[in-house]
Amino acid sequence: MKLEDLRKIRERAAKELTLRTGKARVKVIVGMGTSGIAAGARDVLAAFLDEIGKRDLSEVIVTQSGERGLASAEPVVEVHEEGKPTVVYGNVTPEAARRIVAEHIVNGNPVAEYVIEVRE
Amino acid sequence: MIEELDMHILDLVQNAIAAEAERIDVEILCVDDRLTLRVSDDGIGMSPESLAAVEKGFYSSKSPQAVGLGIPLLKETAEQCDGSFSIESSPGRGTTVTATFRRSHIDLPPFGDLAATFLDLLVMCEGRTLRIGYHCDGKDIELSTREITELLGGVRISHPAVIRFLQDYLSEQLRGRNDEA
Repeated sequence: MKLEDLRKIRERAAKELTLRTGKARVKVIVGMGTSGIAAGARDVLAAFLDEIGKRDLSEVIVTQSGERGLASAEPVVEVHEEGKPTVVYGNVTPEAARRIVAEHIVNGNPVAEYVIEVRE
Repeated sequence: MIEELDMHILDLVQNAIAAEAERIDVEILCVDDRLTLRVSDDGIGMSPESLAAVEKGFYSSKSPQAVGLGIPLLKETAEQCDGSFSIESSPGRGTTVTATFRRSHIDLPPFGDLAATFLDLLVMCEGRTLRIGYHCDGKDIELSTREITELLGGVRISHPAVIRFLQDYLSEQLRGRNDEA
């Protein structure tokens, strides 16, 4: 494989983009501070990316934050959706991350057992 | 706990992001029996007082809740593995953390899942200039967010098609490495 093959993706993705308004529908923020990483945030972020790749979710942006003062609940993940309250998940495992993608992001039902905070 | 070397790399890069770095350089180099990890950035840097506190542990400028044990743990691991540890930093001029290890040391932690970590790093540092150099076990891998972003011309690194491509690309590039551990 060659990194230059990314150009082909660019051409295909450019066609897709013209069909949409371009703005991401969902933003996922994974806490990647020291305590988050120690609690498994590496694999949680990787699980989100893997699901987004597999399910072809081009309207989801994934990004990271530092410490948020929720060290006892790490790994912590926030899901921001346009026009909806922000849902904060705690003690997220890679399996929980995959459920958050399937149940919350795709089907609109937050995964209650991992929710630690809901912000309007 | 931070029990794998790639978690330390993630931690150091997150520190660089917290220090508002635009350029972050990650170097993983194996020469004979010596492994060197180096993360340098052009972030806000630290005063000599802050630097001394960071090395001692339980210090963090990030937030009162951040425990700040990442650096002391890395230092301890490096020294335990017949290696060395140093931080150079000055306000306004960025920070360079270097840790070395004897590869054959029985306490040397594994790298962890480097393909996943490199993808995590590229996504974390989208919008910044991250360079990753991995030169171990006959592999010479160079990655940069700048090159990837240029090739993608406006498409995000966390676009699903890009994620799938990079997962395959990184595991192909790193293949065989675990067999030699």
